[in-house]
Amino acid sequence: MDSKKKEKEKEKEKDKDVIVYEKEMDMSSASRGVWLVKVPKYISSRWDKCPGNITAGQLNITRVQGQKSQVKLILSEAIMCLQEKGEEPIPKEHGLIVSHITSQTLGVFSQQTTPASANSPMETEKITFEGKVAQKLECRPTANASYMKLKRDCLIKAAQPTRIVKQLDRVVQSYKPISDHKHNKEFEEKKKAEGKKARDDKGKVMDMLFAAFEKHQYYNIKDLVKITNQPVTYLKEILKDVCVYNLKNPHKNMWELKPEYRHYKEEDKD
Amino acid sequence: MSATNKTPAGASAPAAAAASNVQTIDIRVPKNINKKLAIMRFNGSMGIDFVQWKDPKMERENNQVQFKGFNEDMPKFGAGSEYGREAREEARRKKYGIISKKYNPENQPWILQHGGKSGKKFRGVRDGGINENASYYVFTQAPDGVFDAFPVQEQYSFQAVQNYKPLSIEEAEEGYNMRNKTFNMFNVMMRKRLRKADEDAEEEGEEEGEGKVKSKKKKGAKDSRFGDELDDLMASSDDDSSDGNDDNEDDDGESKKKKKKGKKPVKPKKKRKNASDDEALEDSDDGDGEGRELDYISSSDDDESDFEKEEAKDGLKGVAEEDALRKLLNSDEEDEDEEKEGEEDKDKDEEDAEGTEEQQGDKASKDEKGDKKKKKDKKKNKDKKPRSEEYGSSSDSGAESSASELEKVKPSPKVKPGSANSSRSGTPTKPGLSMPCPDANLSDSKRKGTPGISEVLLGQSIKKPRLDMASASSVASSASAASSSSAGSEGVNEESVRRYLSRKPMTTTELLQKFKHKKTGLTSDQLVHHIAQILKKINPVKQTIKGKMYLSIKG
Repeated sequence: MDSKKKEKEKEKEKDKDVIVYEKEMDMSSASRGVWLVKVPKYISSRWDKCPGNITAGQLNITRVQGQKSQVKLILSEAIMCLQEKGEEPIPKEHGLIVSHITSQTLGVFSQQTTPASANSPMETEKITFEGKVAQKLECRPTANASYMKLKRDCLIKAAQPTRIVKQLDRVVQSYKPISDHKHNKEFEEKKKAEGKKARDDKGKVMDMLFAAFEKHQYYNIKDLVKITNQPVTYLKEILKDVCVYNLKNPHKNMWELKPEYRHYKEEDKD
Repeated sequence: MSATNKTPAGASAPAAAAASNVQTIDIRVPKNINKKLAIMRFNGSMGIDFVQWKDPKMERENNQVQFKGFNEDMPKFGAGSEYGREAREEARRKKYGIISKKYNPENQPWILQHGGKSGKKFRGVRDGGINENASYYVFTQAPDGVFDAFPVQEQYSFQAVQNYKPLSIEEAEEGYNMRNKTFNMFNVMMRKRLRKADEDAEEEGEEEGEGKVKSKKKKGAKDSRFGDELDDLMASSDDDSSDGNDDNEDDDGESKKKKKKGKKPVKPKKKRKNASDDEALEDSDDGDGEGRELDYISSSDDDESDFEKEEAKDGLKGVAEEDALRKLLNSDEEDEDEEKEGEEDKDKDEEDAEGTEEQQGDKASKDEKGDKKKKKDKKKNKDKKPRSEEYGSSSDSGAESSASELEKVKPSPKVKPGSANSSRSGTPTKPGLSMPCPDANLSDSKRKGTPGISEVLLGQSIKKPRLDMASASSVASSASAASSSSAGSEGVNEESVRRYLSRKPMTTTELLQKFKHKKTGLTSDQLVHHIAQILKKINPVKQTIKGKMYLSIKG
């Protein structure tokens, strides 16, 4: 029964796995330049939490004649308010250091999966080229007292060991005897519900067997019992008529059809 | 990115001042669970231009086959298949603590190809840990001017995949062998150019052997070259004669050849030959000469020296015989004294013949005597010199030189019919002549200078005192004369070489130069051989300074 479940799960997984991957890359925005911005984790965690339709921040670009333009990232009030209990307030302003990429070429592509719908029965994954990275920006907070406090707390938190030694004053019994295990009980209940396996018509059973043997050549007796849902003794009687029991190793303790009953397609090749 | 240049529509704060232009752009973080962004990283030197990509295709690499690896020869369905085998195997493996990972196609590297089948191919491997300590966002500009920030999930670094087949071991080996060939192609061109330059100077057949080369070596008269030869002689101490040296050259490393090549641009023929050798031969490897049979050096040495001795003896004997013959022929006209002298001479010759064998040892002592005697006999020696030189060199130098000397011996007697040497006076060409032929004398005088002429002029009269002197000096004088003759050109002997070397270390070339200035009368070729012999005997301390071999003797 467990194996049946497993099989079902597997099949489900298989269905899930069947994704049509589209090889072709959409290059419609090949000439587009994008920015690659490196931000600290505390900003990204807040941005992850915030809804997509609000303004998450602002870029302030100050350009002075004859100087490099300065870029500032100012987080919005909404983001600043996303503070959870026990969390330190994060700095609102960050400088962005602009650097050009020299020794490498960076491109950005996206994989977009569209779930199965009416016109496409299977899930499809499409690869789109999003653009070439034109500039790399690095987020750098201004080193003020609050930022330092934040970092210090971060460090302290990181230094906290996940496992600590605790002294026990008496023996702790981690394993307690149980009269009957849970899965045993379940099994018993299930068996009771099903009742005794009833002997079916011999022809019916044989049909089932032949159908099973069409799929595979060798079967274990346990598996056949599960498949046909017949008592073992009755099943064995029938098997003795149409099958041979393998006593030797490649397929030891397994049943296979007598040669006169088999007609496997692949066997013709051999 | 042109975002900085644009004035976004959604920007709230316009320009504040004239000098500083502040621009504000809003940022949104759109939520799209189905969209995953990743960075593709290329090396800058690859010259990637995304715009020029034509229908690029990108897919995950299929590593399913490699992933499976084991128990996969069993069919899953139909004949030969077992029901529930995989589950059973899995359970069995689990029992042994092996928990197999599932194949995840999402975790496979990317294969990117653009420009069709023959286009470029890249393989993108995931760079781990980019999101470990910081996060990356990609800012793109939405149509309404607001920046959209998308988090970057992964980064893949792409590398070009070679689309040619690498060489197999055998092919590589073949190519490696060809390496020499290509190198020599260059050589061929060089040689061709050289050949053109030397074509008018020398026109000799290509297929002449070592002998030819050697003879050519002799022909040339450059000091530096001879110095080299001497160096070689000294360097390869095991070979006795220049013959052996030549043979050895082939076995010696190429470096030596190259050295020679570099040093001797005068000898294109030799060079050519060497180069052709290069072409034919492989690079020497370990164990290349293992199978070759090698004579024991010592034994070959012995053989050679025996041979040499024999030849030397023969040569001298020949002279002696000749002398005897001459004596017979001349006996009628010669005085008794002269006969005596002739006998003495004969004795001398015989002594010489023996001397060749013992010379090596005896020479030094004899030379000493000779030196003493030299001053006294200076005059006498002067006209004797050519002959004595020949003797010296013939006895001292190797087999071939002695052979060549023999030929020279014959014409030389012609030169001094009136000299003290009765044996010489009676040459077969002029058996009965008491007075020499004038033209012969002319040539003679040219060669020897004034003493010869005076001799000629004075004729017998000058002979007499000499003969007297010779007879008076008796055995000692004869011995000394013999020694002086056998010692060869008076300057070039072991003593002088020792003297030079003990003074300061010098190269062979320098040493040669020392003797060059003295009027030894030897040809430079003979001189080289002579000095080589002496050096071998002395076996001076060799030291290499700045690539030159300096010889010295510790006092």
